[in-house]
Amino acid sequence: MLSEADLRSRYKDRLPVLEQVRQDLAIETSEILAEVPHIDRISYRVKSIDRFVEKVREKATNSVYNEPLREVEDQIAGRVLVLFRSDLAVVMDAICSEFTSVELRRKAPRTTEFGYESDHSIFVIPPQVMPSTWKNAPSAPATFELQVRTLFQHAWAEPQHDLGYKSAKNLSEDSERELAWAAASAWGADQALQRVAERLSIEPKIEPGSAT
Amino acid sequence: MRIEAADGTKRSKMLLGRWHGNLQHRASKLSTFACLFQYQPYSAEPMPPSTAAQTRRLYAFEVPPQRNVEKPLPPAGGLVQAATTVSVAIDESTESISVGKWIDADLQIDSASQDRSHVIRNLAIAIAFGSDADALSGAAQIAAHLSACTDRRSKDSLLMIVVADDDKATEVKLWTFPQDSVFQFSPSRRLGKGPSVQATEAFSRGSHLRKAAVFRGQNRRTDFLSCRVVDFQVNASARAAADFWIEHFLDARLSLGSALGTKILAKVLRETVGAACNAEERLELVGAAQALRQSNREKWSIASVADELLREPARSNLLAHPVAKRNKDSLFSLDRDAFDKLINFRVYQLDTGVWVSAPFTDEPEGVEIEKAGDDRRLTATGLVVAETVRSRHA
Repeated sequence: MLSEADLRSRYKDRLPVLEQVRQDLAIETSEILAEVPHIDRISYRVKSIDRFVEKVREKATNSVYNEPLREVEDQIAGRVLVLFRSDLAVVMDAICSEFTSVELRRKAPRTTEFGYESDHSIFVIPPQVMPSTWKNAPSAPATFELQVRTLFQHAWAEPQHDLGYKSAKNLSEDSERELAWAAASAWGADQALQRVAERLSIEPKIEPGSAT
Repeated sequence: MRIEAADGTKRSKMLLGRWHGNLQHRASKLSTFACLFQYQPYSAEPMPPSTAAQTRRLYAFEVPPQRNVEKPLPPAGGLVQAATTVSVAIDESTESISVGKWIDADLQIDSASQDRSHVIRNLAIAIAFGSDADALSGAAQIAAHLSACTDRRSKDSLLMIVVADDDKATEVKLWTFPQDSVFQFSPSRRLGKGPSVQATEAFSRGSHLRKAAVFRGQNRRTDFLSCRVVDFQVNASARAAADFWIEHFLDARLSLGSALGTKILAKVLRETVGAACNAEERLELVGAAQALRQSNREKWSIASVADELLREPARSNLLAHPVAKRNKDSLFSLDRDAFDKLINFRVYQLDTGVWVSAPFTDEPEGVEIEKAGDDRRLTATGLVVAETVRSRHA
């Protein structure tokens, strides 16, 4: 196992290549979704050195990673935000037709609770964006992560991540309840938007001034 | 050649017992295969010092075609002892395939499973990292799976599974060599006796129908998700033959998706046309685009387009495109409709029986289209730089 300093140093050396792959994946994802409606945004990021080292340190107690430079799968991670819940499956299907998925998980709270919701997936880095120096290199990443969320799922998840996840131990009951209320509101807003979108897609348009 | 179970465990003994009957019948073919490989009799010869990977396990099975057979027989075979000579021959087979002939393929992992489960992946990992008994069992299951995927009109094939380690990773190579009819020639050895020729069957290392899949990695969840494949039938006109190795046997797919591959090729062609320094080269590239649209062949790579459809300097210029440099060998299924749209291949049919085609541009130079009432009138002017006779228009 590498020391933290070695890990930090080797990850730092890798950043320019990760950045190139990030850009290429962002372009390819945009091309895949070019004809798909209701995409709000597509973004990719490279995990920062601190977050990478922190993640490895957190998982070290459970011996999750033998070779973190290979096994941390969100060194490059993308996110696609969509307008409606029904777009989640459409986007995932389109991406799965071009990138090879090895893991698809819908993160959702229990049915009696409200909380974090997002579709997480792990894909194989395709050969056309794989740097030649990474091919057959056992410590190079082979996979990347992609999340697909609605705007409301994202609107709740990001501040919650900052407020709740980072200081989970210090949250009061009231704070937890308010976060749950915000999650419920975001879920409710998604449901309402979806219902309206479905009604508009099946109901005939009412022309202004026409007799009803 | 001697085929044995890996160890003395009950499981492997049982498997060997089941194979025994088959082995008796198939011994002659396996012996012939051994001859072709110039295989030496069993001995505890040491492995030669390896410059790269060191063979640790090697299995061989004679695989009968048993697709849709109700009660298939287990293929005969097992662990090959003293695998040095055979593994050298396998290495030669691997090295004889030029870089551009290897195909990147991704296994179709059950993405809902917690452990990235996949029939071939699970077995390849067991063969590479499992106990001797598990590895033998895994190899036998791969042989049985290959047998169950193989159409009964095919001949038997020889499946070789090699596990080799280097200082960084472990490789699992699956090679299958088809049976072929051969002559065996023996020159006269005794006075008064002429040479003898024997018609026999053997497993051919050089056959166009041989196939391979190579996995490389370590025993972790991020590895053995993809493999490199040799399959010269991938563009066979018969769908069953084209899909047999990658889709049916490996349960994998090409790593480069159809839509992205088509976009990349169209982009490279379009930009190479834009940068072409003379009309002849442009025409060459346009001709390649036309040929692609008309071809029945499904799978292409940028390299195969360059090598098969272009002459110099268009070929080199296409391969010199920055995107092509990185992607040239990635095989993908060409989406012709999407390709047509991407290269903007407009074809005008005139009332005079003349066809005018204008790829790669929204406003073709020298072509004017003017409204004439409800009709449109096309006028094309330019120098004729080439003339060909074709049975079909562009």
